[in-house]
Amino acid sequence: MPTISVFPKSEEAPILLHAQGLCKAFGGQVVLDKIELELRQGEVILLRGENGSGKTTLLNILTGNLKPDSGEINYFSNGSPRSYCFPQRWWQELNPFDHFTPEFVAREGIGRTWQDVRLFGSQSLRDNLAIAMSNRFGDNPFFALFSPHHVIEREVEINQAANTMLTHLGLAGREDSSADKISLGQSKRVAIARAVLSGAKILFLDEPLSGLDRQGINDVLTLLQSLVNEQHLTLVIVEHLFNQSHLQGLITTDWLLDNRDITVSTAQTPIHVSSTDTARPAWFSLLAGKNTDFIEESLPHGALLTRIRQPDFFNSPSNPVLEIKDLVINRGQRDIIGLDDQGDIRGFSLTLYEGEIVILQAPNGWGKSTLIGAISGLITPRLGDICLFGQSINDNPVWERIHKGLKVLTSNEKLFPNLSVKEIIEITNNQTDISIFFPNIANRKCSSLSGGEKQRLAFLCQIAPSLSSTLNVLDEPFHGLDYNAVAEVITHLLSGLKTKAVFITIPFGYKP
Amino acid sequence: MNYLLHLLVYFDIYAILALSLNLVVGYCGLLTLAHASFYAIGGYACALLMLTANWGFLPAMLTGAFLSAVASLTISLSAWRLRGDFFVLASLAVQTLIYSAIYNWSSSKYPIGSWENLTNGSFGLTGIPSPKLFGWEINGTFDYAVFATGVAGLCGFILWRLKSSPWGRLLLAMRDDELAARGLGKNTRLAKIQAIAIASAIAAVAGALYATHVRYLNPDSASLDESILMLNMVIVGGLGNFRGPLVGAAILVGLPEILRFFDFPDAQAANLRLLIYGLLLVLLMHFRPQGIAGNYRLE
Repeated sequence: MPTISVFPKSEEAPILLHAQGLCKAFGGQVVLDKIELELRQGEVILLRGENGSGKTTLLNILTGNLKPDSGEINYFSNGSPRSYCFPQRWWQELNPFDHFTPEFVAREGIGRTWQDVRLFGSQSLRDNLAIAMSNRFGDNPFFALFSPHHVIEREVEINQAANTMLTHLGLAGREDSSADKISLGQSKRVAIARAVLSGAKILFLDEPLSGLDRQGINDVLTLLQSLVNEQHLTLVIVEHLFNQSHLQGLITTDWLLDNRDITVSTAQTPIHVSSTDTARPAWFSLLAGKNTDFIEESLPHGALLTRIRQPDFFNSPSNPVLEIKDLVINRGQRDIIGLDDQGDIRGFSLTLYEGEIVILQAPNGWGKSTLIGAISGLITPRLGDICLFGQSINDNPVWERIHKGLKVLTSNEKLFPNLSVKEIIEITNNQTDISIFFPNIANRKCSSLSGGEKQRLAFLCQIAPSLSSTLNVLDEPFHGLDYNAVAEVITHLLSGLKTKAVFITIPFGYKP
Repeated sequence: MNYLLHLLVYFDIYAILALSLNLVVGYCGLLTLAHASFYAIGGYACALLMLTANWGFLPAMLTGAFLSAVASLTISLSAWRLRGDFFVLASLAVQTLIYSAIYNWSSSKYPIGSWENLTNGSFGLTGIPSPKLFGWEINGTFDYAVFATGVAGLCGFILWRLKSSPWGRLLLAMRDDELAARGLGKNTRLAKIQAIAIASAIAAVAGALYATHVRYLNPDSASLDESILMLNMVIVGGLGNFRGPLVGAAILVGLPEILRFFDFPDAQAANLRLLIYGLLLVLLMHFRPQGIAGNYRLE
């Protein structure tokens, strides 16, 4: 862990961004309600809140990726102040030089990084950094064609700056490597450097530590520390609960989004995340019942596997339901699943036995949905073997896996938007009395349901009792549900007579 | 020998078209079906100015290129908001619109080139003069082959320099992840307009070459078939680099000529050619989606 010392924040430090009265609603659901905030130079903000509290929405608004319904945003970070008022007038929409868009906001000195990194995969690392820097002549095709001398002159400077930055990032000698052939930690650092080189004075970082191993986290923290201390950049960091403890000492201000409002406080109270709090949430007892054994196993990159078994589990022979052997899954050129904490390929292995409920808690970006995709046949693993009820299903398409007893609830809402609830229940051959679950909405179209209602409907479809033995695989099944709804669906899940085993993935620290 | 020189001229014309289309499809990631329209605008503008206003080849060709670049705003403005399938549909609409205009803008009562009979409809334009350049009258097949190869080389050089510039790098970044490029302050809307306008202007140059080589031009040059042929060249040859479109143009210009040696009746040969095009596309999409010599896979 690097030693962190922070650029001293002064109350007199200039304000770089001020927003007031920001409101945003999606389909009637208010996410942000009259938010007011300001950012001063040198501040390091931790933006936190529960899942769905509007962190990403706020970040998208402040970086020009999303327009608020109403409110005002003033940027002072680039010398001349610029103000945007919402809702905008129709003539403002037509003005090609004053749009509230990511490119215009970026020119005000606002940079951002994404949780999924978003480097330009087909280009070299040098080009990924070089593109962030302005080449007044080279960015114009006319000058690129007729004034190559000016273009090349500036290009030499830009390439030198990019090479220096790559050396600073510990990537000297990798300048010509393709951006999709470096590790996730390296990608995250290159993405941060790219935003800095674009001239950002305020940097919004969306989960910069997610999916990283210990070394990767330290490297990113060292980079952030140098940006704050040496370049006096202002940072706004959205980070998952699990990784917030790593940021202690760096954070100067805390923004807590809760109940559509924001609470600003100085980060005097250390943000402490108890491992037991995140490891075993209270709602696990709903799944476990009384006298149940919990067996916990740590997995690489901060994931935790919890097995819930009945007390007599070891007294009777148990058959394996799902066997995952030495699995390696890649996304593009990068391996996602199957790496150890050092980044070496070890292969991911897991066996689920009959009667078990296994819960995988992992941070965002760990690859939970990728793993579910490989089990269900939507993603082809690079290496390894997956067996269901003792038979290899590697070569089976999705529908054959379903026929063999696999039931998958994906985290995406893949329901039929134009069918009614009743029709959707019918096409899944579900005999459940829908009046119990959906007393008033049986005839409503799926597209008109709220997020929670859709999740309950998807859940009901996926766990429909079937005649054959099943393995239920559920990717973030409780997303959008309150505690009572979670209790309700868990009761239903456990009543599935033919369910042999259940595999659930959830984000770390999930609390309904 | 003349036959081979004719083939070389056709290769030059289609190489220009494929390279320019690659700027839009391979570098911007925008699949367009309207490229033949801009090719035809260039051909018609050049031919009409030479026929009716007695302009020289160079100013007529440059005017055609300018008009074509302006007309390209019809698709580049829709590229501001539309992507993927919707952009393809918008380009198809523009293609149909321009083809219909060329096909129907005629009236036998008025002279060719007048406002009422601008294109002479389905009869097309005949007797287009040979180009004359700085006192060099390009009349014979050899002369024309040299001239067309020179023009193709110049167009290729322009596109290569643009592709190698920071602007070319911006196009690739935009293709890989437009939102990330915008987040760096890059005006991707302007870059799209510029790329499509440049590609259309260069396609218009190819149109002027074709019109003055064949000395006859009809609406078929603006047809959807022609656009699809150009797109095939880019997709078969390969997207996102310089050699791919050249390979595609060589294959699709050469293929019908090779079939001539098999003595198929004309009616069958035409169908066979379409069959082979289709088969080639299906096989490539399955086994090599980035094309024979390409390095970018169109999603």
